[in-house]
Amino acid sequence: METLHLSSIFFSLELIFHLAEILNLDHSQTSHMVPKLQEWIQYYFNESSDLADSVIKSRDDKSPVECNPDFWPAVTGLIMTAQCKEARRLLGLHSKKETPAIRTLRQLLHSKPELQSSGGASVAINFSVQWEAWLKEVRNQLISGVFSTNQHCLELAELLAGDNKAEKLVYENSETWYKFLVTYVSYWKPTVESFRLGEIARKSMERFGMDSQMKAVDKILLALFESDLYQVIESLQEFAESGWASLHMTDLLYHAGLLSNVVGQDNKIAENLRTDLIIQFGTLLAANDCVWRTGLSYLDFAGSQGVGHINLILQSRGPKSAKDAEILLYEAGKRNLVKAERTICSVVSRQYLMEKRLGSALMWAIKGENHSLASSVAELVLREMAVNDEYSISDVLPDLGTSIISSGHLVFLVKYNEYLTKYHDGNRKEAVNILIDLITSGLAPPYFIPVLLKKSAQAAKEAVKEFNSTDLSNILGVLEELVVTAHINGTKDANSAVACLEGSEREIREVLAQSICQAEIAELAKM
Amino acid sequence: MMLSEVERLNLNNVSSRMPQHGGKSWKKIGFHSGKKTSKVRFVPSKTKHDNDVGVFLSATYEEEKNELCMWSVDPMAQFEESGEKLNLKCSLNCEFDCVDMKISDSGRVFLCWSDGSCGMFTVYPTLQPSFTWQNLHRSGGQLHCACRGVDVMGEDVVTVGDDGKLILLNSYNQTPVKSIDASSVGLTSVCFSKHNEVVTGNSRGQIAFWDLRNEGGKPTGVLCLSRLRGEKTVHPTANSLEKHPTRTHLLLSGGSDGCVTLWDLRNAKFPVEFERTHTGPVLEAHFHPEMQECIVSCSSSGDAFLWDCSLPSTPSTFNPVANDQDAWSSVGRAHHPQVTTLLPKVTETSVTSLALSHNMIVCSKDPGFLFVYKKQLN
Repeated sequence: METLHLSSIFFSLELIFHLAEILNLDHSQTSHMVPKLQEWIQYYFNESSDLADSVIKSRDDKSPVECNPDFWPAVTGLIMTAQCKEARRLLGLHSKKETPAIRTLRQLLHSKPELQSSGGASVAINFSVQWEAWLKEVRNQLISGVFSTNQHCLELAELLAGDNKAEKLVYENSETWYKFLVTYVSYWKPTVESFRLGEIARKSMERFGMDSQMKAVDKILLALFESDLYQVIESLQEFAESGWASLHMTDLLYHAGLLSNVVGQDNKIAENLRTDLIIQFGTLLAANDCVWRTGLSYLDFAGSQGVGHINLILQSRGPKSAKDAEILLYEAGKRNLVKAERTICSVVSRQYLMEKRLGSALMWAIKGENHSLASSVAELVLREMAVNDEYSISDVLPDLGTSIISSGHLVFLVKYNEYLTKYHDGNRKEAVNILIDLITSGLAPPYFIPVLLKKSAQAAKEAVKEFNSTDLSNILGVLEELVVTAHINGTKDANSAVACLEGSEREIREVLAQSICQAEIAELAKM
Repeated sequence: MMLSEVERLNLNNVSSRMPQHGGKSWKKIGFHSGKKTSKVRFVPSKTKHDNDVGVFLSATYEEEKNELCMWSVDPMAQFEESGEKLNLKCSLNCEFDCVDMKISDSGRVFLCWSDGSCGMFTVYPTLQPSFTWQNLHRSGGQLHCACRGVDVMGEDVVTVGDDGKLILLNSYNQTPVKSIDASSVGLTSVCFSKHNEVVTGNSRGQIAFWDLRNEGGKPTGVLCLSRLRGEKTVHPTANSLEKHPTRTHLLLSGGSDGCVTLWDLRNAKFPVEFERTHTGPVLEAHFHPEMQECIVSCSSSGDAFLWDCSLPSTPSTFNPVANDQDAWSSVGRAHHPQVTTLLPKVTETSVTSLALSHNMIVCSKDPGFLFVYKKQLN
């Protein structure tokens, strides 16, 4: 049911747009309306052709084709929609085609002049001359009474002659007033100019009693015939609520340079109207989960206002998953919306942070160039390492690139990871150098110093020859400072750095002291 | 609608930078407009004649009612602009978005869903659901954790997800066999390298190799897609990974920086990068199953390309490539691939997926178009 409703709306819109094209876009000083209107009616209302086809198909040898009740309606319909060749062909199947009535009718159909849709005034004049001559011929034949033997032929000949008696025939065989209009201009006013069509349209509508029963489609078609483009746009807005039709009509008129005529010769107002409609429609689409990206592509055409809306949409559209976020980032990146990119990344990073997925949180914080957030994540990782002596994000640390420079915590974390990797791989010398830098640089957060001290003691035990005595003394100095500071401050809570060292302080001192001795002996031996 | 005008363009539109090579051209034989499709895959057929009717599956995403559909397309049918020659054979409703799909040679279909589960379907005799592994990939918070990639080899199935886990499943077992915490960032793609060996790609541009027999959670090797672009280091997400069907040392990846990268694993330090052709993230890159030296790729910027990496038939004096040299070893160095555009690029909506059979290609393009092309030899 809904599909039927939608396809009838779509059909009506096609009808409207096609007529708008004929009357406004295809229009030039040299073009003639009637042939195009005939094409328009033939394209959308081809029941007569279908009827004729079915009549031809159902032919058999038992009864003549004219006994088919659809025969004459088919011929009439074809002539009304100016398909005279097809009408003549169908008449040729009549069993009595050689009788004077039918033969004459066929001959008149054959000799009927056709107006080309372009060609200018000279073509129109030639056509008028030929048309007058042909009309005279038709009328002569009517007067001569050759059609009196066949009522159908008589009526059709009256139609060809533009006789007022035929008006009733046309009215009875037209389902709509615009079909009536096209037949009327085809036979009564074949060289009509476009500016007269409004008047003829009104009269056709009155004939059909449409004044009181105008449907939306009728209103729009009438407005098109009357060249009231403003009314067209307004009515389209009411007709198809989504705004697609009025937007595209406005856009077409804008590109054709006709929109400023609609709004009183003001280009600025025309542009604003178009922009407003784009924004209305674009934001409507962007609110829908399925077609939001199409909405963005509409808003791309709304200038700086459109950019503003896109920015807002991308930042407020909360990503539901990582893939969603990647798509949002792509859309923002395509349009160089740096702020939106940063916001999206920060939102995702914070959500991962809440879930304690530190690797993803760090990655997104770095992507969004959110230095403070990246620093916070790095700190969390370091705290985790301080407690657990292991951490989950080692796979992403090696190639963070130049983005780490913005955060001291991040630099420290990357360096520490580098130390662990090198030590594990057996590259002790370089690892020890990094460790010494880490301890003595002052970059280490206070809660992490115990970890470094423990690692130093371990490294000193396993690879003392990589240290020199000065470095070891410096490390011991750091330990001393830690203990003294805690003593002065009187802090004894569980989380303090000294509390973390509790128990291993003595062991670290012993190891360091022994290592210093060994190192000094080794240095003396070298001298 | 506008697009019907577009389809009348000659399909052999070629990027102005690169001419068409060889005698292969593609003719459109089917079109459908409907729901937004994220993945299309051909059902493997036992015979490979040019006139065989092709059957493929399509799965949707971001729709109110998502679907898994089965289509048949007749390569011999005459295509009319106003008609559709795609025959919808059946469709199943799905609750969630499809993120990835693979079909095994035995006709089992595996779908990754956006809620972190993986569903198994059978194709013969009709398309029907078989079993779903629920909650394979889970998150603890508001962001949905999707199952991002799946691959199948024999009975074994692997999935990867936003939670960074690599999970091994068995088609006959409702319990996952093994779960590895493979990455601290989300994993985005996976493929079997050989039996028991799997390659994963993550959102940080790292491609890792895993031996499933190992107990530890460490990869056996890592490759990197990260590169310096100007002053910044770019870490593209590895959206797509595929191994060559016969030459197991070749690996293809598609990255979110628009680059399609070909790795020769015997010499992995110097991959060949096909870049500056896709202007948006590459969503899929595949080796053509029959045309042994061809790659197809598609991206979010609306492009779909066929890269013909075969050796030029007449080596020029500037590129003297010996006739017996392997095309894959010399592509990007001694000779360049010839690129053909598969779809006329009218709008910049994503080409989300490509399905390949021996004689046809199906492209799915947002928001809801399916195009089917048949190979024609001149």
